[in-house]
Amino acid sequence: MILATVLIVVLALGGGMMAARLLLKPAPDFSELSATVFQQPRALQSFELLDHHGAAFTNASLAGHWSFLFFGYTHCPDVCPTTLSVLNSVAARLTGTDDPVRFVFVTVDPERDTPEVLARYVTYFNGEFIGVTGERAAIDELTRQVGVMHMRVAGEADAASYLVDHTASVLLFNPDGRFQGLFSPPLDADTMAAEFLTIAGALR
Amino acid sequence: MRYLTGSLLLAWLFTASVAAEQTGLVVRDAWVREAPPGASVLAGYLQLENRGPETLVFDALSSSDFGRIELHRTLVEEGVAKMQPVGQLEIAAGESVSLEPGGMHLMLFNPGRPLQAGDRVDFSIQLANGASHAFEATVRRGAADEAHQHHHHHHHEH
Repeated sequence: MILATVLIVVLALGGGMMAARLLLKPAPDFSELSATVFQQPRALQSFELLDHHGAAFTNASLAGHWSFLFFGYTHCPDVCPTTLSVLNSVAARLTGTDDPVRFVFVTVDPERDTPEVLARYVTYFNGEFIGVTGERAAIDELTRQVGVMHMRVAGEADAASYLVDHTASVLLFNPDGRFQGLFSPPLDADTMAAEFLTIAGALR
Repeated sequence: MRYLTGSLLLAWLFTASVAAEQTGLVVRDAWVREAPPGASVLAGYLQLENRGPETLVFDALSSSDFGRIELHRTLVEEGVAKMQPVGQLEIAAGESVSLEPGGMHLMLFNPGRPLQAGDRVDFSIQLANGASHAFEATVRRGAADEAHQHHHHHHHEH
């Protein structure tokens, strides 16, 4: 009886302390990081795109793991290969860590970047990378929601060789599929991997 | 081996000095980024130095391996990467210019053959004064942070 009372008191105390710890737990401070981390991660409206296998890529595809999203296009000679190479290095540094991650390349040029084109492109950098394309309207809607800019620029030679100016940041989505933050250029794989672990660890 | 390295170095110094005598231009570390399958545009990078007494003005670049070459600069403005054509490149006497990932680069359109890491590509720079300068670039599977990887290699093995 006494034992039971003690147990209850201990449990109540313990529970109270845990609740207090949860309530009083200060919001993690990410101000020292070069990455931008939102205090309130932003939910996305529902979207439906296609991955490079031709399967649906939707909000559900972002759930259950962290995701790095980069928006670009395969005819991009400098920024996109550079960024995907950096992401490949980030992936190598995060292998075997506690938080599962995925890397997604979303095209802002769906007219030229079909699933087949993307399949060859993204897997060149890393066999686990996911390429995403879809209807122009769906791409525009997603990029609008996350503040990714993209603008077609006429090429010098002919109409088919146009370039696309686009946001060069890498966007980070949390395991709830919410937009959690972003890494802005210049991108460095060591910094990105270390800061990701800090962010994921603090928000786990 | 030592002799070979020595003679290679001599040969390099010799070519560099001959080139410098003719045009004042020295090209170093020229490389082409190996492209993913099916790419229609590749990027090339190099270091340029003007050892001559006069400003060098670039007219055009050509290579038998590419349909067309343009000089572009990547600018990141408010987080947006923009490709800006570089109208005319000029290098003042004694100055150097670096073409590197995320900065100024060669846009190499319509490769005539599949290029893989280790392949070599011949280029020619035509200068406004009528002279031209030939150089060779190596195709590399370039990681943007290659330098970092080498620096930190040790660190990662621990």
